[in-house]
Amino acid sequence: MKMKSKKATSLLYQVIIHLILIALIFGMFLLSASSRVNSKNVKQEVLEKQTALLIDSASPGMTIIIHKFNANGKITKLELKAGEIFAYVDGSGYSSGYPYFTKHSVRLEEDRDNYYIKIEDIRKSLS
Amino acid sequence: MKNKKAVIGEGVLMLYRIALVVLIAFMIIGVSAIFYDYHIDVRDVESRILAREVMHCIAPDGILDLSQFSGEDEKNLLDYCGIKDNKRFYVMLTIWKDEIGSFSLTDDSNQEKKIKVLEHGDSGISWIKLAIDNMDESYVGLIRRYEPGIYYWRGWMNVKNSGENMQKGVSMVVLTAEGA
Repeated sequence: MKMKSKKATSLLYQVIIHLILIALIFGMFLLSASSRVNSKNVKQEVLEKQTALLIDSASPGMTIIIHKFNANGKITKLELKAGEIFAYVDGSGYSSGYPYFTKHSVRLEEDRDNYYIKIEDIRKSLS
Repeated sequence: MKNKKAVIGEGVLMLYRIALVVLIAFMIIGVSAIFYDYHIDVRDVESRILAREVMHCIAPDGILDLSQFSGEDEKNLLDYCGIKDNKRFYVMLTIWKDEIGSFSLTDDSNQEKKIKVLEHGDSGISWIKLAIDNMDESYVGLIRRYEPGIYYWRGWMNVKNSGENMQKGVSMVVLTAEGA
């Protein structure tokens, strides 16, 4: 009787370990699939490319205003680094960035609701 | 007392089951990656914007003064214009003697008809464009995303050459490779 119960317990442990492993694997899979399906990456890329094009076509003195809450979701972070723009939407932790090629100086500011990308004449920004 | 062989057998079976689950998960990820694949192409627009910027740079008053370009500037047009991130672009601006020659990325036979060629970048980008253009549509498929964006413009401009002002034919091609 005791022997039988020991066998049953060990089988139960095995099944539990199995279930935990399968749940872990599927958890990772769902996490990876959901980021594709909810199109967060697409929104991020759209935002980066649109902003890069706006920067490229802007003249000195212009300010591009980007609302933090917009059609692409909530922009949690916007960065200008080494000639590239990085946008992070809905708490995303990764952005591949997109390069802009403007010859003017570009500065980023933010307040509670908006990001402001200021385009300045490079000579003025140096002086 | 547990049979040793049975324990090993159970372990192998468990590994096999986990391997199967991982395989299925990866297969589903693979399929979803194909179905949800996306590519937002803005290279044609970038080419157009760059062409406008170059035009503003070389002829700010609407007159293209050829004396402003040194030998170095003729090969580094975007550096001359102060455009920083310029490794992705190939720009070729041709000033023609009489009429504007036909558009070709590779044909150099019209040299005697040209007054000056200003360019920048690696003309190798144009070879990718030509290769994809000449490929059968059924083979292009996923390679299409590596096709450079293109903008071509031709028209007449006021050109100042050796102190003389005259209307000359100008053509410009801008090719943009993938950004990120």
